[in-house]
Amino acid sequence: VTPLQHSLVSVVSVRASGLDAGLEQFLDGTADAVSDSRPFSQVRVDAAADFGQRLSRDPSLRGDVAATALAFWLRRGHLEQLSATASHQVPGEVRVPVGRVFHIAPSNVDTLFLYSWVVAFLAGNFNVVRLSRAAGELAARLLDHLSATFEDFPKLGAENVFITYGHDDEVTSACSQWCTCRIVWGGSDTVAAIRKVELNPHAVERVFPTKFSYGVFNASSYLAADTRHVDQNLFGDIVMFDQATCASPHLIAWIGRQTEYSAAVEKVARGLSAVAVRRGYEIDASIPLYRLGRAFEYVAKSEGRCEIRDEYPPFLHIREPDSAGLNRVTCGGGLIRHVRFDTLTQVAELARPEDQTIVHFGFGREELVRFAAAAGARGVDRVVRVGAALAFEPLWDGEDLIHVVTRSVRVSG
Amino acid sequence: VTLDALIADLWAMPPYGLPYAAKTRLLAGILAALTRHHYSACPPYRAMVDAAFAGVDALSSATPLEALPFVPTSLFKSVELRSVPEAEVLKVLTSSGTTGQAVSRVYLDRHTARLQSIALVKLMNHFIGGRRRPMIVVDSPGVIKDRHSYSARGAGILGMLQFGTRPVYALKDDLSLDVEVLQEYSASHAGEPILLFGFTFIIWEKLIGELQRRNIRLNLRGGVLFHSGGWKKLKDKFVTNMDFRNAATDWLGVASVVNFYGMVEQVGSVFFENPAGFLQAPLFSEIIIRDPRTLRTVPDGVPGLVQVLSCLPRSYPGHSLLTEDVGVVRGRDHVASGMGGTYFELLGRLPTAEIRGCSDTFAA
Repeated sequence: VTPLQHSLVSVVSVRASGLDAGLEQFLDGTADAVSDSRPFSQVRVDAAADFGQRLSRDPSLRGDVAATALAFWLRRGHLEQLSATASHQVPGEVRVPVGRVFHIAPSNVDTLFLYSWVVAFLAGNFNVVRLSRAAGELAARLLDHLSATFEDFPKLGAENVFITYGHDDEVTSACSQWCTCRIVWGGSDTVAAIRKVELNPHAVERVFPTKFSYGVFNASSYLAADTRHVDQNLFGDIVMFDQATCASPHLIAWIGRQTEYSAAVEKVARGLSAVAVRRGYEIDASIPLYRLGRAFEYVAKSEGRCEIRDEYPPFLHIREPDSAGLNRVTCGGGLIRHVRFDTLTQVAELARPEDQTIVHFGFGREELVRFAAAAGARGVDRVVRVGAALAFEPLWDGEDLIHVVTRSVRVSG
Repeated sequence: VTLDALIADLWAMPPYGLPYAAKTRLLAGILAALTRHHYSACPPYRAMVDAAFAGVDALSSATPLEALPFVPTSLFKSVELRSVPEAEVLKVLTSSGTTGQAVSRVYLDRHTARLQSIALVKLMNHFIGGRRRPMIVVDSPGVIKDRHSYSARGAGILGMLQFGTRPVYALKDDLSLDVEVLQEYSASHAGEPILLFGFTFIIWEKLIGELQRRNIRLNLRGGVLFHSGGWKKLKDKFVTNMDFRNAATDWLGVASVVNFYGMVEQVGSVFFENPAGFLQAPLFSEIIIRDPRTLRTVPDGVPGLVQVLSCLPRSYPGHSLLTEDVGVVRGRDHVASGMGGTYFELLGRLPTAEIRGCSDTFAA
């Protein structure tokens, strides 16, 4: 056997052998094993909640929005609720773990690999999590806390490995043969690259290709409302992870008349700027020039007259001409495009398979359900209130992650 | 008054002959007219000016320079910016910059190429007089082989070649030093005012460095070394402009060393060093410093992004560009050398914007 070339960020287990042989040994040792601790058992919830507590107690993570959101998501009450829902017994069916999950995490969201992992962990699986080599300091810090947690839960810890490696098909292949479920985050290029690596015929796969996300706002409702809170929520949706996640909105589709549209764009631009001032948000100095270049490129290649508005820092706004459609160009770093439609139905008709999260403001419940059905049929995955764009839910890209990492076994008497 | 008449006024004056205030008044008229010219001749440029600067209707010769529309240099990589029909393009200059794969494309017609050449001649006359000189190009001859499409390096060399006679190349095609050629040339032109030109890092690594390794000192007394091309690699090695000057004087024996700042998007309107070591804006160009976060102008002495203005670009809208270079204005009108105009210092380059996209897991 050729020794696998890899480096382990952190083996969350205490093993007799050295780190280098660790992965191979882990794969061999777990290939036909089943965990002693049942899916969604108390001890699994305890371990995950303990990890969450460590995060919320760490003063160095307090300012980090992503870590705070993760810690909040990992609170005991939420985990128990999640587990209770997931382990709900359906007559004639038994829910079991898929067994061995291979996660390939994206590099742009330092916390996402943990959401993916926690769900699979709670469900009772063995896990190999591949982190990007670009994973930042935050990821390392989070793994430190996870290691600490598993000092108290050594048996469970030994069932999980976190690794990082470059373009190494050998490692990917070994893990893909080992697993019964492969979860690929990180965009269409990654999905294409990983799909070339053969998967164990008995394994299932869930991929998360590149997605586009935006907002639908009712212009007249927005103009009529006190929008301080909305602006704050929208601000969070946009600035988290530099507006570079699949769920980050890049465009606001305004439903309303021309005059309302103009006033609403003005109001939201001013409102977002005010939130930035209140929060003392400062943009990275490398971004505005880059962003302006991308905005200029966008208008140079657009039909019809766009308007670039730079007087509301730290964001750059592009007001697109009427009926400009839904262009799915993204930039990140706080470039927000605006476009007007007469009705929500028009937006729904433009939905496409790459559309993921739509944040909404100012519509009634029934209107939204109709919209979700019409847009969803073409591809949208989530229609959520503004502020919840990046809130991780097991129901992601249209599929419940819990269903991905578990199977139902039919029993009949 | 036509643009050409306005430019002719410029040619009538020495390149550093006007004080800042008077020069600014002259430039304002020319640059406003150039902006209108490109606005009507280049549709993508028009779209940008309409979108970000509300068009050109309000522009006049009274418009302050900082209120003129500008374009980030990166646009030459992503959009075809041309103000003449394709058939009139004489040559295309290309440069990869530091950002990686994308290549800038700058379209020159005969007229713009001529303006660039006149400007460079005026500037060089100021430093070395009107006579052509024996010349050593510190590069390999291969850089200028293709005569229709040039790299930034090739374009720079080609521009300088017009000031030399019987030029030789100091480097072989593999960029190794051709010591024999160099020694022979310096012996046969002993004491003559030789002109040397090359890119800063190449001179440092391939010429000075190699001479040091072999412990060979050249005696090019009377020679002038012009060099350009960015300090990043030398900064990484903690080499300052002063170190460079000293080493060049020591190992080449040249009488003077002149650094300059220029870019493929504005060939001809280059910023040469004044005797104090600051880069000096000549008559037909100007710089403005902007805050990288707000892109608004900053007071003199405060570092920021360098915006370069030039009266020369006619076949492409490159007369007002916001670069990724970071610099600081050190003063207006250099009294000691009698050189009029803004002088400044380059401090480095803006770091590349790192917005990690969703689709980069495995590439990382």
